[in-house]
Amino acid sequence: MQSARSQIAHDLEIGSRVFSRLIENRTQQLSEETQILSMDFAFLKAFTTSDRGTILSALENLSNRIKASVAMLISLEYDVIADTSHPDLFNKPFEYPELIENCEEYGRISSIVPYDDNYYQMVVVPLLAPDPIAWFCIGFPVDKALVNDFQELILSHVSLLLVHSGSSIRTIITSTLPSFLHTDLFNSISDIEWEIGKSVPFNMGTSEFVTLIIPLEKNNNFIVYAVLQRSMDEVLQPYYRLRKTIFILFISGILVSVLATFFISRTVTKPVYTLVEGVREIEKGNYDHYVSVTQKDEMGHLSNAFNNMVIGLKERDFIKSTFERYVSTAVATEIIKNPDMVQLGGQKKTLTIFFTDIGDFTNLSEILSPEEVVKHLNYYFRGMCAAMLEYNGTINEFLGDAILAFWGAPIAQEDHALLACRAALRCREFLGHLEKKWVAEGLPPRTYRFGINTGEVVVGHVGSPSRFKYSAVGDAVNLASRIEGVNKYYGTQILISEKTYSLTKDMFIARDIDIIRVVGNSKPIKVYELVAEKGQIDEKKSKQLEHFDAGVRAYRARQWEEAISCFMQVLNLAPEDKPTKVYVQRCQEYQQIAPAQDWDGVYNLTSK
Amino acid sequence: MSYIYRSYVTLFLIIICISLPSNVYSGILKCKVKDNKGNIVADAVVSAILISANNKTNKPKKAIIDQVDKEFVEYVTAVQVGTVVSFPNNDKIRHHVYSFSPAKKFEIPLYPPGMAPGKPIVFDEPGVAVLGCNIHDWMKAYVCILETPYFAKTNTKGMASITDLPPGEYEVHVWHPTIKKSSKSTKQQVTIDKVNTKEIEFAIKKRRVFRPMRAPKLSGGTYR
Repeated sequence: MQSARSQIAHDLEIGSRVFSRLIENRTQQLSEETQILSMDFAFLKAFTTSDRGTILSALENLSNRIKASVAMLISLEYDVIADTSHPDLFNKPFEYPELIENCEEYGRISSIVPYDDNYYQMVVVPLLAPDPIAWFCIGFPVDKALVNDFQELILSHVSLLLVHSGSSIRTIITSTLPSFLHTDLFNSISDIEWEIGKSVPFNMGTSEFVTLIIPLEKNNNFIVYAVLQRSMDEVLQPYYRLRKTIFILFISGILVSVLATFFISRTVTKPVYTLVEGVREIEKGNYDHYVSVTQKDEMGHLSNAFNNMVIGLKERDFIKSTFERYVSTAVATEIIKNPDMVQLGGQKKTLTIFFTDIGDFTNLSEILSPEEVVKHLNYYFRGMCAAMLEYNGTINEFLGDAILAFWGAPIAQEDHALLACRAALRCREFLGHLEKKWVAEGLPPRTYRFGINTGEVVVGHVGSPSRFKYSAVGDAVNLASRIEGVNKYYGTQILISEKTYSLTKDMFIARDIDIIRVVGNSKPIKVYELVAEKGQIDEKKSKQLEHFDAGVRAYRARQWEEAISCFMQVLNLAPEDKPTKVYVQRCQEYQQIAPAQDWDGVYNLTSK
Repeated sequence: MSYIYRSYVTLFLIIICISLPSNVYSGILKCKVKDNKGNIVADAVVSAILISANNKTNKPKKAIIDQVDKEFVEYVTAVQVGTVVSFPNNDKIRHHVYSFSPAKKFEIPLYPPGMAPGKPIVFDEPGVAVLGCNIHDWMKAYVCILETPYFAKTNTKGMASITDLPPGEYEVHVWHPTIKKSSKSTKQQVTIDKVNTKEIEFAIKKRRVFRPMRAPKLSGGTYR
């Protein structure tokens, strides 16, 4: 504000200089025009006719030439001879004799005077013939048109003020200000102390006007001042405009923020909440909750990703829940990592099937209470499952006290046979401890049987949509079960099929037990007893196996004596070896009654 | 007659002629005109009016106011009432002589170099006539028309001598174009006798006189 004031004050000061010069120029111009006009010989002649009518008409003519408002002729005695504004007036003393006195002094004079309720710039020149014979006075109006002209040039409001010297009466001659401000101007001039040539603020109307007052002319009766003003409002207009613009910008900024907030809340916050809700549902385990966000932007992408995630989670959860019970954590992780490798529908695969059973378990149920039975059973299962899972087996089912497991599904395991055998050996190890424990508890002994077979099966979800199970189905499964049962006859613990043997013979030591035919199957199958991993048997055991092997070969070659001889050697080393005993007995039988000519060495099992 | 005789006679006649007027026993009045500040005033007309008698001697006189180099010659001319004044134009251009003074209103419209056409102007009223040229604003001349025949104009030294004054009481007036009307010391009373030369002084109050600057040196249209 203050800088605006000082800027205006500076402008006014410049304006006042321009204004003073303009006034000077105008006065000079009018005076010169009047002077030239007065040197009219014809007019002089008209004047000296002393005919008033002629004089008046000639005067009017003259005044018209320069478009003056008033023209007067005044005698050397200061009486009005003729006055174009008062045609009937004559011989009355001129109102402003001092003007003429000044004219005598300076040759010509100009002054702003009031005359007839108006204000005129009066120029007085002598009428020379060639010495003055009268005074020629011309008046040009000082009115709003004049000050408006000035205003256009100096861009400030211009008011002319007349102050009577004696009485200090102040009059506003004319002003460019609108009429409703005249009173305020008058009051300001009267009330506020002002100095000539120094800017002061006047409060007029609703705004502040920076005001500069300069004197224009001075005579004995009055002083004429020019009041130059600029409204702070007008000058501050650009600032007010700017302020308004800023305000509008501010408001629209707020509006935009509100709209943006609204928009963001709809397109961002709401979807976010929807997603949060979705997450909560997932937290609860509800994988069927889908987030629907129809936007096509990032939020839409996020929600799509979320939905995909939910599907993934659902799948994993499904897989996990489906398989966790069956597979080891490692396998489960594998499945989760690659759910595609798990085909839930039936698939043909080559698996190694693993059956295991506890013999004489029913005895336990007679001795122990039901709770005890379950406790023991669970202990057994725990150990067995741990052993199997250690080798990434898939524990498929518990059938009473039997366990069905397989390797090679649901994820591919190339070494399924190997793993199964290792698992069997591990189980055997566990069972060894278990038996010790239970016998120590005073329980009767049990036998544990394992049957392992490798073959093609169909594996997948078997059942109805509401109730299904991941199962392997096929001959290979049945065979494994049969082989497991065969252990009973030979007194062995772990029997594996030929196929399994073929896959594992490099890593394991297995005893060729027999070639048998099981009930319901005409095809002869070779069974082997899984003894141990290669390098895990001692010299003695090795010898045993050697002899046994020789015995079996002799047996198959119908060399009963030799066979028996070998088997005896086995018994020498291991008197409890049941398969050997079986073979001895069989040999002795065949010694008595030789088998048929077409005997293929296959023993037919008569019972399951 | 011998030429010696003739020369004596001539001499005698000359002496008589010279001494004749002095036999009238006339006085001399010397006037010095100054202004209030002590400056000498030239072109002031001093006139002596014999109080006691009516001294209008009606001698038709002639005067000339010339126009040379776009100026009137003289600036001030004092004449007795009834003087005929002619206005020869000794310039190469025309002039238009006029006067609106009540003492004599006349106009000689533009006339070429040479004598003014028409009759010469008779200044038959006492007073002062201010002459101008219509086409040359600065050309101005004054004709001071006096009733009394006893008058003189101050020279460049401010001195004027009125001679052949019959002894008596005189009212001596002074007039100058710049004289202020209110000036009190425009007249003095003086006694003239046959023998002595009276010397008086006037101190006049001057006022401004309007005179446009001579063209083409005109600048700003001011007066001088």
